[in-house]
Amino acid sequence: MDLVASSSSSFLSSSSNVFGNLPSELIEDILIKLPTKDVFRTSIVSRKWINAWSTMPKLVLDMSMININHESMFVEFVDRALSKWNTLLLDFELTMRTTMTLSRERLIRTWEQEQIYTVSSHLFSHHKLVCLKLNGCILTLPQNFKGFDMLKSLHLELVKIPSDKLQSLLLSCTQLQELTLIKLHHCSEIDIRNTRVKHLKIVGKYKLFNLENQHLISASINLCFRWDEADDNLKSIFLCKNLMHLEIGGRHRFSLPSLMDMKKLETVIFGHSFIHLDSVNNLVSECLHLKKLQILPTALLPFGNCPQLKDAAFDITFAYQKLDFEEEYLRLAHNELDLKVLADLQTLVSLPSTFNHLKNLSLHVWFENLLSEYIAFFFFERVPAMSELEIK
Amino acid sequence: MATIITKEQQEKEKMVTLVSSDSEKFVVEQKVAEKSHVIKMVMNCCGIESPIPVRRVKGDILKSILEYCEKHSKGEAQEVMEKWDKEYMDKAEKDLVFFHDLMLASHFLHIQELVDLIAVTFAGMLKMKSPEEIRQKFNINNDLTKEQEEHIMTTFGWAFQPI
Repeated sequence: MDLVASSSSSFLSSSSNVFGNLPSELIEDILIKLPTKDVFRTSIVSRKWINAWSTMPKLVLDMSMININHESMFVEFVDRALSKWNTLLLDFELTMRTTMTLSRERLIRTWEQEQIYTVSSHLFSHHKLVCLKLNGCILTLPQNFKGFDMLKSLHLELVKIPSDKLQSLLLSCTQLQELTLIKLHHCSEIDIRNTRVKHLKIVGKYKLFNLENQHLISASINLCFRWDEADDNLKSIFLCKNLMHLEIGGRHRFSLPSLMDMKKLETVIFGHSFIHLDSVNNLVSECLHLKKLQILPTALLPFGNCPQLKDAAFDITFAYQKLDFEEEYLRLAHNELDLKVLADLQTLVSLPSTFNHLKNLSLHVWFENLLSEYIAFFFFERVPAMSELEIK
Repeated sequence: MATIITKEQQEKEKMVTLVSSDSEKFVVEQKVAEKSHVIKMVMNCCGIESPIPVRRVKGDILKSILEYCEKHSKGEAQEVMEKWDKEYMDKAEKDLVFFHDLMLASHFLHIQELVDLIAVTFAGMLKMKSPEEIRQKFNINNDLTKEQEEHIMTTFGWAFQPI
């Protein structure tokens, strides 16, 4: 006890620069955990801290934290940091303000008038980058750009880059494993055929895709296209034979090709898309490793085919749409069906057999619709191993 | 703190003795001591039969560090650990000398999990503070020249303005 007390008082009374003498690696460890603005403020307390900051392998610059009157200063700083950063930069993240504050119309206008920050060409001299994340800027590749040899993760969001440039960027980064492309501007084609991307996320509106790639393990796709273009646009993703996780967002209507070759599929999430009944039949009968399925059934499905399912989410608010009989439908809509009719309906909607492995079940129930409630009830009965249940 | 333990027992439970800079002895399970990459390497090459001196770490600090290592070698649920970590840090940050020594020791002993935890806590203390406030609170000498400071203000000016 005495020992602690005496060391305390000696620290407080001395001006021994205690925290100023922390090892540089430790100062880096601390600085790396601070948001952009605080990093700069903190790092200038002494020379040692400045040096520690300027040798950090990770540089995160986020404009959303900056007073709007200082934007030009910030932009100047970004350029300067990219040109002067004298150590090995492994991880660079840049977020410009545009994406946070502007309305959609204004954003498009801003893009057209090119009042957007163009990333300094010095970025391309940091050729050992491992992670690159850009948000809200223009990316222009220099003529002689040879690629980032070490780049493993690329995240481009609201970035203006023409299709051909994106293509050459992707092809020149031979180690690329994670690719995220969100709402790119001036980019109409995405082709990842000749890359080694394992994890892919694409959001936005593009004209042409080719996603056929045997390296791909997980894909999350949320695209805008006309309803009749869905099958064509999504075709190439079903050629990725090693895909384990597939998520297709948005509201589409599509049918699936034969999935005989996609034996590894474990997770399938089809958000709010309507999938043809035959397609779903294919999916559950051909993908025998399926463990997680989130689907909006246009009809209740022959789930007896996938007893290995461990995790499932179904939206049964639309369940009534299966009923072709107008009369029944009307009665149902008015909650006039009695239990007997419901029992008869059971054969109609082919309720699932028992899921012995299903642990997590999420049901989106329409609580004024008897059939919807009734189906939910049947699910409860057939999931003996259930440990987590979510009802929306 | 020093616990007397027979050799047979030591064999059975794979215990190891660590000695702090002020000669305090701590007997802990091998898996607890292994949380420190440095001690692990020492144990790998020299075995666990003879006490391992941890010369740069004082008894009170080593005691606290071993408390952390023991808790983190049990494999408890994440929520339990997060709560425990928070309480551990709340206690540590009350005394800046202790906090400083704990940070240095965890760095020296190479316990990266603990370094990260301390760095996050320290970063939390630095937020929203001016450089001068930080220098005062943490006793850091300002060794920048006037010219350097002016240069910084022109380059980083934006970082000092409120949003």
